[in-house]
Amino acid sequence: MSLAPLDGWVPGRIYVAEGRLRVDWCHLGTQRFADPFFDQTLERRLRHPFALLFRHQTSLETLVERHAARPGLPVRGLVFHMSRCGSTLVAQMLAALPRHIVLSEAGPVDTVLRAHLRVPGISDTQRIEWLRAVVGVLGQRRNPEEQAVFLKLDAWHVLELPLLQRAFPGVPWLFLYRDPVEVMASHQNHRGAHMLPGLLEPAQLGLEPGALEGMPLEEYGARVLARICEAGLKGYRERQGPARLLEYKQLQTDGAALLTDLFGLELTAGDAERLRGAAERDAKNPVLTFEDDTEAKARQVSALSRELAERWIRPVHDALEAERLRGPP
Amino acid sequence: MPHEDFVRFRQLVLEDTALQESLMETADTQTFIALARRLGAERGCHFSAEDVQEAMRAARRTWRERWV
Repeated sequence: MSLAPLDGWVPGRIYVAEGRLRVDWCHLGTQRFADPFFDQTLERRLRHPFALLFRHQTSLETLVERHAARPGLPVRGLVFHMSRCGSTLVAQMLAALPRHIVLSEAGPVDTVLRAHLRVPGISDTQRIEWLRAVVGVLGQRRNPEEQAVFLKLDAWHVLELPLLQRAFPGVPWLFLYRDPVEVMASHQNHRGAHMLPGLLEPAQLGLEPGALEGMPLEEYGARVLARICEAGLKGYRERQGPARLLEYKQLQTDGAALLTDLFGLELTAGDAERLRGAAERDAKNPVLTFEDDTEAKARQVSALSRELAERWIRPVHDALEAERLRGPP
Repeated sequence: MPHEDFVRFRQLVLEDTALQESLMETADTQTFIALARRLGAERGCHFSAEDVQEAMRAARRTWRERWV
């Protein structure tokens, strides 16, 4: 396929068919990735019968070729997090500036990061090439003001931090975390995908394959969250380039300043106002204003979740806090 | 399975940006179906409104199945 027919189209899904990765392209036109999550923008677009019915299906090689010809806008920041800790708010603050393309938990990024688990024989080098290609194609300028791409990853992607740093060397990143009891309380109401066995390999969690048998879901979740925080901490301690740790409570007060500093945002007065506006809204439901639910979360949590949060996650949370307080403000 | 004339029409559309632009003009499903049937018939592709609706259901299904 020549390049022009895919102008305005983005990889919406990457899937495996007959042992090979294929791309399901969605026509997005000039619609921005402005929703809290990548998939919400696509779902909104697919309400249009044209976008739903007419989707190019190509090999992943076609996407790689397109990236080689049109590399896309530069990646300027990576956002890692432990989940349920304000990362969507960070993504919405970055997306509040029309010059940013923010890819918030984009499915195609996750698919290529985990491709080696579904298709045998895929090397790290291959995953890096695909990752750059997917991000580059998603990060094409579709509006004249767009200048830079930010990647807000899924919580478990911090386990792949070294590979992501090889894919995007020198790109500033942050790791966001929150009091473990509050995070466990949030998952207690509605568990994230990574909190259920199946998404992650036991080896990624430092567990033997048989270790999951009979393990309560709450304990599994607590150990996943601990492992995610450990990966954030290790990455920060071994950082080669600009990186920051950010605790949920800092977000409202220091979030905008930290993002500005870390990612080198040059804010006009209007930009600063947009950032403040985004920070004041409920990130996952931007028609509502933000409410700090710290106390509500602490009240709701079960005794078991609290105990597991304290046993498994508190030590690494405290280590993150100690590290953060030693680092730049 | 979508009607074979609709499958053929879909391929024509994916190769023709002018045709794509025409079909993007309306977001209203009923108007869209009427337009698609007319543009299809002009190109020798004859399918019913039910064929388009079935293709939309199938498209929605594959989209959901491909979620990671």
